[in-house]
Amino acid sequence: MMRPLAAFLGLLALLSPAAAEVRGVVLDAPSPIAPFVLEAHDGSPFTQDDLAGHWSLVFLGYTHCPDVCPFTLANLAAVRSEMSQLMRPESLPQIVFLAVDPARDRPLLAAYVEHFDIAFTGVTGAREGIDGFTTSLDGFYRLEKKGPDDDAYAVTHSAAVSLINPAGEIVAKLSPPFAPFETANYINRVMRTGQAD
Amino acid sequence: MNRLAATAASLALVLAAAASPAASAEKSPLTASHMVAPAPPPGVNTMAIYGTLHNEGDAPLVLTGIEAAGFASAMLHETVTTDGIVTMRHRMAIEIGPGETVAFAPGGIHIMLMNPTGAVAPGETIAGVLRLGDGSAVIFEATITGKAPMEMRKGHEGMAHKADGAS
Ligand SMILES: [Cu+2]
Repeated sequence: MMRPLAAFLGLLALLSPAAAEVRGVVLDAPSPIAPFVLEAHDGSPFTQDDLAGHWSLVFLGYTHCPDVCPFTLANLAAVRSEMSQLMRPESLPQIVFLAVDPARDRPLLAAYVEHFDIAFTGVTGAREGIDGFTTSLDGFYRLEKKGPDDDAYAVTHSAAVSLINPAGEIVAKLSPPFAPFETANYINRVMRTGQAD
Repeated sequence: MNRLAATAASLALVLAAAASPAASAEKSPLTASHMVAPAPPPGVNTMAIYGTLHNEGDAPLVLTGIEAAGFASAMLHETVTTDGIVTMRHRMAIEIGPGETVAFAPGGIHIMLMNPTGAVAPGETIAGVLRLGDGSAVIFEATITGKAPMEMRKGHEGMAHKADGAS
């Protein structure tokens, strides 16, 4: 019996309390991304030029992340889907996952990003490229490797998602949680007006 | 997954839990509900179980350990975000006060599973045991889902508080 359940869920949605807040900050001045060289999950090069000409959302993490990365990526897939109600498909932001643990991430990256959304771009590569892009994002990561044989280490990393404009500059930062509907509307407003409200 | 092996492992866990002194005699005041484990992306050997633990009793309970059939390791973990930086720490014990509910949710406390011994497929279940400080144990089942949940722990609901004698 699906109908009563669907009706119930619809009711719940109507009754749900005040819309979830979005924890976002629009930067006072756009922050440029310095040149870097990385590799996309399909093996093609990925540089700062791949951020030009369209909007992007960038999240930094690692594939063996059990909690925050899958949560964030599942939400970003839902955000992108919500945004498809607000704009033409070609205007949708590219979603980029910067994988900072290449030793373990590189072999899994293509299947990993596809698990969340086939439109996602996973990028990783040499430490220099990862660190360069991380610095431009004002991000942080640290591999918590306990020794050369430790292959079950966690990675401490920043939680933020950066919104990058078609000039390749960061214009806003979002922090979790990423409630899909509200986040989509927030990003849409920033894309259209440069303001959060 | 090799269903026979998984079933045998689950059964062994459940029998071991039942053999502990407090579990067989009376129903535990600790209940575990809505236990779900999003299937990991291909090749990833870590995942989390989320859900709701509730202490129906009138005395504080301390969760001290976790076991899960079909995984080399299961631990109580907490994701901590400080100044926008996310890290995970191992929790040795989580106190649940009388009448208190602790939400295991993304960005907060979770059961961390590592190195599954077989395939992990959506729709299947993971049998687990929660170990309490008084030597008792509670059996639970978590459903493996296809996707990560999209709600985070809210405010402080997900934090285990010190039992408040006045409440
Ligand atoms: Cu964990």
